[in-house]
Amino acid sequence: MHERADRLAGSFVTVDDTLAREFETRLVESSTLAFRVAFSVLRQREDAEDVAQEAFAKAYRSFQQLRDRERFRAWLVRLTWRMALDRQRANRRRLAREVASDQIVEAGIQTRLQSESTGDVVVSRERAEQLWQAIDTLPDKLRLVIVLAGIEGHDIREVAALLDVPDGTVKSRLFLARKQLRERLSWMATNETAH
Amino acid sequence: MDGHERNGALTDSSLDREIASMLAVEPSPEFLARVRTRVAADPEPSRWRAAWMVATAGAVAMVIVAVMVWPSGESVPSNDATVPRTQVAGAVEPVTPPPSSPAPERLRTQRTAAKVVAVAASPDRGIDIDLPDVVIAENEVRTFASLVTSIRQSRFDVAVPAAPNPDTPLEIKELPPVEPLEIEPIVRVAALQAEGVRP
Repeated sequence: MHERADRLAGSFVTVDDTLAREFETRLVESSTLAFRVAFSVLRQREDAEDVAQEAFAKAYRSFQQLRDRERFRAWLVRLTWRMALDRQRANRRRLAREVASDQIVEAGIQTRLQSESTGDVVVSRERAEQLWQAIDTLPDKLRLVIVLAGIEGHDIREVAALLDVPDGTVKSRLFLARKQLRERLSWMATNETAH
Repeated sequence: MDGHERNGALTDSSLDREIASMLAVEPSPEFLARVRTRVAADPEPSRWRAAWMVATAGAVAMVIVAVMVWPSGESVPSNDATVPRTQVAGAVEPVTPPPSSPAPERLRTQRTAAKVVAVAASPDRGIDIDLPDVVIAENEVRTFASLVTSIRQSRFDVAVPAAPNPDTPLEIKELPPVEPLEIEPIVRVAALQAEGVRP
């Protein structure tokens, strides 16, 4: 009797099951994107994973209310970006408090060594740091566009869909971002040569 | 540096390549598992929220129904109730103003004299509503009384004249024949006199 009831219960597919399955699909296809968006802001693997994880937890909580589930990726990108910026600000405040501490120097060295040892970053450390610094100086809108265009080979249409803006807006933002980056990097190079 | 041009200039494509390579970072293998655990540990807010919304909607509906059903303290007399004739007769009192009194005085008297009394739906339940005075002219009261009398005695024909049928063709009467209009020639007297011609 119990076996039969269990079998019957197992054959039912509830609304929650369907939602959970749908969310699992979204999670698999968007996890790397969320992680990379967070990484582009934080440049720390652990921090980026934490933020992406929290973003997914938040997304899960509101997943049922999301009317257009096809736009989940766009929604997740914006959510992760905002959360990563919040984390970055919090990190900066914490670092500012501990600025005189030797621990920071050690942690910085460790992080750099770790990043080198994983071999994720192809460009040299100095060059990458320069580029990251230049990206950080960009306004938020330009920064997000250049980062998204650099992730997973997104083209203009895909970036536009992720940001929910017209293609032309993405084009102009990309143009401005590249221009400002070039200027910033050449200024950095000139300064280095002068020193 | 691959993407960086030798002369220091940085092209768009090289810049994009550099950024792409910097962002080609994979999350740790246990990242997905950690996210799944985190999501599974999260309480199911959807179910809770749905229950909360249903409860709120129910409460709001109950409040609306309660407000609509709640007795308002004043009962309204029903229109279809039959009223005794004596009450109808007493409801409207004709005013006979004194002929010698001046006009403003007359109006004031009319206001105080003719007061409409609310008629109860049933004889045993009277409602005393303080209505404003209604002035009804004597001739109107007389006309109304005569109308009621004539209806009672079946002397009044209440039949409404039949409206013209829109389907029936209109009868067009022939117009009288047009007579030619003769206009006499205009004679310019002054001009003729100047020329020495007598009109």
